[in-house]
Amino acid sequence: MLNDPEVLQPAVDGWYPIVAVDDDGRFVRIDVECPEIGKCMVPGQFVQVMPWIPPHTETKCPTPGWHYPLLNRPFSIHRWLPGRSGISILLDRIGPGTYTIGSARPGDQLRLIGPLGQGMESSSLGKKHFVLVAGGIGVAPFDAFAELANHVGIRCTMAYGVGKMEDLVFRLGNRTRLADEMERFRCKTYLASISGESGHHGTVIDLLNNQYKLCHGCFERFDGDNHDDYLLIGCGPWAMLKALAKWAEAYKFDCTVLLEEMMGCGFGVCRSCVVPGWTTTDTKTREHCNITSCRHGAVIDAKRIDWDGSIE
Amino acid sequence: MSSNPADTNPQVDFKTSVCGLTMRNPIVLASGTFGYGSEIAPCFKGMSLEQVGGISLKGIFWEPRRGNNTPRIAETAAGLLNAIGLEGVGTVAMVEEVLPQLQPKPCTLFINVCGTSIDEYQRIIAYLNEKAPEAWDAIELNISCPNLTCGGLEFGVTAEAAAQVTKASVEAAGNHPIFVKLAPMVANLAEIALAVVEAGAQGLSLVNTYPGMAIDLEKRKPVLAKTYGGLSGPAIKPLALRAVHLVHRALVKAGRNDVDIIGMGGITNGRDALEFLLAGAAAVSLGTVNFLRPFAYRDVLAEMEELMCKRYGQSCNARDLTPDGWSGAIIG
Repeated sequence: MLNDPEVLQPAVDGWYPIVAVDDDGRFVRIDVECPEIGKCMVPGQFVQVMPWIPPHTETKCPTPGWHYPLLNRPFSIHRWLPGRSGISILLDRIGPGTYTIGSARPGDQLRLIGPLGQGMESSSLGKKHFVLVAGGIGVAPFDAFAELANHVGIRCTMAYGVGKMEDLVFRLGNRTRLADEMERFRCKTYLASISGESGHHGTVIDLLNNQYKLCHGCFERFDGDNHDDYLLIGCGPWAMLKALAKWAEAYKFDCTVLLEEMMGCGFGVCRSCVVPGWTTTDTKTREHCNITSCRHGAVIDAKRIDWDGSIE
Repeated sequence: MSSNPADTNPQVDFKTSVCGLTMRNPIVLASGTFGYGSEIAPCFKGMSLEQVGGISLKGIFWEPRRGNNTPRIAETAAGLLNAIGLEGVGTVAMVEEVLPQLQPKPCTLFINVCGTSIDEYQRIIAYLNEKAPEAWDAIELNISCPNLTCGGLEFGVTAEAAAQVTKASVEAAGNHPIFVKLAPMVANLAEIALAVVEAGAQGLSLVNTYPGMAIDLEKRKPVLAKTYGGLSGPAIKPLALRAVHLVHRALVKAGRNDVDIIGMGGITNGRDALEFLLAGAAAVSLGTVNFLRPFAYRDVLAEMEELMCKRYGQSCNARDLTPDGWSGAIIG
C-alpha cells in the first residue's frame, strides 16, 4: 500500500537446517542455521515459518502436504546464534501451527521467510537505558535486544510479567532460565505474576509503576529526572501494550512496542494484521491510518497507535 | 531420435495471449494478494514482476477505504476466510501514485475495480481511461460488491444486474478489455457468465471467493468481525475447477470461444494450474498461495514445465492441453 514503509532489507525464502532444539514440554526454542538472516537482521524483526516439517525421504513428494495448517506462523527473532550464523525462534505450543513447528528436531529443515518487518530504530541507540517490558511469550525478542544493547554500551533491564508461574518460559522453580541467560548481556530481569506466586504480585505494568514510584534502585536511576535517557520497549498482548503506552505517556517516557496480530502473509499484502493508527507521532498534523503489524511494525513508536480507536 | 541437445532438455514456451493481450506466461497474481505490485517485489531477494504474466492490482473504489475492523481473517482446513473490506487507495491515487511506479509495465496490468453503484464503476473506469489509458491493460470488474442503490444485493448474483454493470463499464473502458470476476455462489453461474459476455465482457475471471464463516468456541461468537467472509485456498480448488469447466462449456455451446477465462481458486502447484488450463482456462491466477510462498509463481511455472515435458515430450504442442485457447507451445 502507499503508506507502507520501505523494507529494511530484502527477505530470503528457503529451507534451513535446524541445529538445536531446546524443549521444556511446552515452550520450544529452535536454533536454525541461516547466516543470510543472522547477518542482516535487526532486533525486533520476525520470520514467517511454514507449519510443515518435511519427512526425511530421498524422493520428492509430488504434491507437498502442508495445506493444514495453511498459513505461515510469524515468530520474533529471539536471538542470534554465535557468529550470526543463524537465529533462534522461541514458541509456546498453543495451536496446530506451533505444535507442528515445535515437533521439529535437529536435522529437520524449516521453511523460513525473513527477516521481515521493521526492527529497532537506529535512533534508539542514542538512549542510555532500555527497559524491556515482556508479557508472556512476548519475552521472545528480548535476548537479541539485550545483546545489541550490551554491545553498544546501553544498560538494559527487563520486566517480565506472566499470568501464572506455569506460563514462565523455561521455568526453574521461581526463576526462568531466560533471565539467567540474559545476565550474560548484563541484563537483569524482574518478574511479576498476576497470580502472585512469585515476583511482584500484579501485572508487569504494576511492577514498572512500583519500581518507578518507590525507586528501589533496582531499575537504576529510574527516578524521573532523566526520562529522555530511557526507552521502554514492550512486547506482549494488546492490552498490556496499551497499558504500557498509556503509562509511558503519563510519565513522559519514550516507548516503542512490538506488534503482533493475526497475520496472513507477513509482508503487507493481505492487510489482516492492521491496527488503527496515526500517520505520524506529531499530534498536530497526524491523520488516521491503518498500521500493518507486519510492515509498519513489528517495532513501532507507541504514539503511532490509536490505542482506543477502531478502523471503522 | 534427434541428437539436438534441446530434445533432452525441452523447454516450454509459455508465451500466450489472453483477450488479445500478450503475456509472457499464463500466470497472473490475483487481486488483493500482491498489493499494488511495486511495493511487494522489493521485499524479496530476486523477485520481479517481470517474471509473471500479469498482476491484478488490489481492488479500488472511487474513494480510498480503510476496510473492516479486525479480525479480518480466519484459518480453516486448507483454506483462508477473509473479510478485509477492500482496503484500498482509491482511484485518484491509483492514477497519480500507483500506476506511475509500474511504468514501464513489467507485465500485463489488470486494474480490479469495485463499486457500490453502476455510476461508481463507470466513473472509475472513465477516469482511468481518460487520465492514464496507456498505463494499464485491462479492467477486472469485481461484481461481488453490494449494490447500495438496489438494496445492497450484490451485482454478481443476478444476470440482469451483472449485465448492466458490465455494459456500463465496457462503454467507459475505451479499447481496454473488461474481465468480469464472477462470484461463484449463485444459482445460475453459466447464465450470468453468458449475460456479461453478451453485455460486452471480453474475458471472465473465475472464481471469486466462496462465502463462509468460522466460530470461536471460547468466545461463542464469529471469528471474523464481519461475521461472514470469503473462503479461498486449496479448500475451494475442486469447486473453482468445476465452475471454470461449467462456464467454458457454456461459452463453447453458445459459440463464444473468443471469450478467455482466467481460472483461479486454490492453485498451489503446477499440477493445479494445468488442471485449470485443461478445464478451459486461458490463464490462471495465484491468490492465497502468495501469502504462504511469495515465490509460488516461480515454483508453479517450474512444475508446469516439468509435468508438461514429462507428459508430452518434445513433440507436444501445449495447445493439446486445453479444449482450446491456450497458445503456449513446447519448443524442442
